[in-house]
Amino acid sequence: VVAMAKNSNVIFDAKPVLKALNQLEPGLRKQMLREMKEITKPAVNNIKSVIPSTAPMSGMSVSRTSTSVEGRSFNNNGSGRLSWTGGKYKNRVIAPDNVIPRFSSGRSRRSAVTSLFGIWLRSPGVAMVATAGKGSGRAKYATTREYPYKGGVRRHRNNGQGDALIRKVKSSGLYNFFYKAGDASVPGMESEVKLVWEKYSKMVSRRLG
Amino acid sequence: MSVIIKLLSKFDDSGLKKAKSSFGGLSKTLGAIGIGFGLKQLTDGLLDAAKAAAADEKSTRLLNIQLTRNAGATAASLKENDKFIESLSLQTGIMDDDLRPAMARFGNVTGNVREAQRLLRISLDGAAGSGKNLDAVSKAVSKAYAGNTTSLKKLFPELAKSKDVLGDFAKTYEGLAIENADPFMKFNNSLDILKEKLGVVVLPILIDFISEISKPGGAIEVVGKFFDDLANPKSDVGKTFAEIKAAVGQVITGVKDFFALFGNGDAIEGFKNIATSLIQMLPALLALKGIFMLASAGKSIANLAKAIGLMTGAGAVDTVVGAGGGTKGKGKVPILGTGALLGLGMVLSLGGDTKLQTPEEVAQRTAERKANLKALQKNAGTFPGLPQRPVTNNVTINVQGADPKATVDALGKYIKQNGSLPYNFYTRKVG
Repeated sequence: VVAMAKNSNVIFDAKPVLKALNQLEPGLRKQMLREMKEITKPAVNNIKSVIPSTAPMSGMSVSRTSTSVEGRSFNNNGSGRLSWTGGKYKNRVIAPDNVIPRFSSGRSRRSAVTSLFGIWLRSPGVAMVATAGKGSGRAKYATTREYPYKGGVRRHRNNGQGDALIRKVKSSGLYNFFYKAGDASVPGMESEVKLVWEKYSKMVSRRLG
Repeated sequence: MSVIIKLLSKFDDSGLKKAKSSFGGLSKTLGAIGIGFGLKQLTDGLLDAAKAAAADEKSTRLLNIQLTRNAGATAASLKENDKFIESLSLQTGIMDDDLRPAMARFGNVTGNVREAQRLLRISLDGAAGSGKNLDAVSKAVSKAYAGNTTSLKKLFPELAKSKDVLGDFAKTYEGLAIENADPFMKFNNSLDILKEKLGVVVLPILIDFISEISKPGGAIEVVGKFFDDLANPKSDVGKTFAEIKAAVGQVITGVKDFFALFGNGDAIEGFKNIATSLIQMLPALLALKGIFMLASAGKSIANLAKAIGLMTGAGAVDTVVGAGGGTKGKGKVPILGTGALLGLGMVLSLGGDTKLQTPEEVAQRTAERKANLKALQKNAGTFPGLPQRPVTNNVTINVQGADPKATVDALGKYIKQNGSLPYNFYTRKVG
């Protein structure tokens, strides 16, 4: 908590401030969000501009034909969740350049510190490619963590697919583009967003105090 | 997978706390079934289990009475209904205590256990699917079953134009209660049910125990009377208790005073000094024990002297002498001093009397010896045979097995250097 307190980007009174904002004046919370979103516009546009509109790898393309092995056909025609143009989030197709500012005030059961405001790249497949190559590329664990699968849970061996992906994106030069595109403007955005937050939280404390 | 650039984060641990509280019942229930806890926790857990079982039994009985009266339930159908409630609770994660009132309501409306169970399922699905309160939904459903659909339509506006309100409602939310069940609540419920089952076993034992101790002349009466007597100083028990209390007080005071002697008036310090010295003295004490054993076995004085010699030679006493003070009142443990031990040994060996000297007596004796020695040194040279210089006891002459000529030479050399032999040389038997 001490470490978190030192990080000025973590705020501790989010819940009461957000609650009080609309009580003070209806629409105040919306106004704050609008101001915050305005700050992120240049960064969002910058990120959008580096996302290719077509799949950088043939396997992620929607046009890929389905294959069949021993009479069984497999759904690898590119319309899966990780597809480039047909990627899905909560069963809705998400465009590859769907990048939005996100404000989430909800709490988490897993972590005490959660993102309140940030820039979100929504398409899962694009997100995967966009961050591939950011790290060393070496698998940390031999097997994955348990994840839900067909009503149960399962884990699988890290079979080198990730490595292959990283090699591929690095060879094409299109790797780690999400953070790279955003990074330059992050410090400025952080302080601006923080200022907006301070402005509104002071408003609350002044009026309540 | 999605990625986020965090620009502002917040600290809110209420979600974590909620997750933890979902596990809250776990420790209690594990305690009840005796996993990893001590006896107290086990007993507390068992009592909790018994309480839970008693509460569950009461709520089941109430429901059964209602179903028997209003829905014509038989013993078999009641048993089956019990199982239904339990399994429903396990599947949906909703506590059986919340399910029973709804079930009773449906029993009253339908007059049929099976139909009541069906309505309960529908209501649970509706409540889980819409996020509305089960009580409100079940009330609306029971009214709808009776023909008044207004409440249900108000709760679920999408049914406003429906011709078969209850049927459509059932279809819309079918199976959602099980699908949306909170896994934590399911887990907790299953443990609660386990606890209640355990309580069912414990409860009769507890009831037997309570009736046994509370019957006339039972433990409660006897123990209660004893405490009454104890509090009354006029009763025999009260008098005895007062005497014991006074005696214990005296003993404690005596012991405190005794230890205070060795700690400059501080009993705890005195006790610490004695204990420390005893630990350091352990080898010497063991030797002393040997002396006692030899003396009690009627061995010769020579043997006793040998024992003392061994003790001194083993350096046991030296370690005690070397054990320096520094601690408050440490020097006030006289029985453990070298002189005291040797003095004690001498009393035992030469006097033939096994009477133990007090520390004061030993100290007095040592002081007398020192005084005598000083007087002797003062008068040195006045009387024939007495040493001319202060006595030194470091004359080492090995007679046994030595060359007589060398012995005589050594003596001659000593006399030439020192004037004469030490006085105690004459008092001891040489050879």
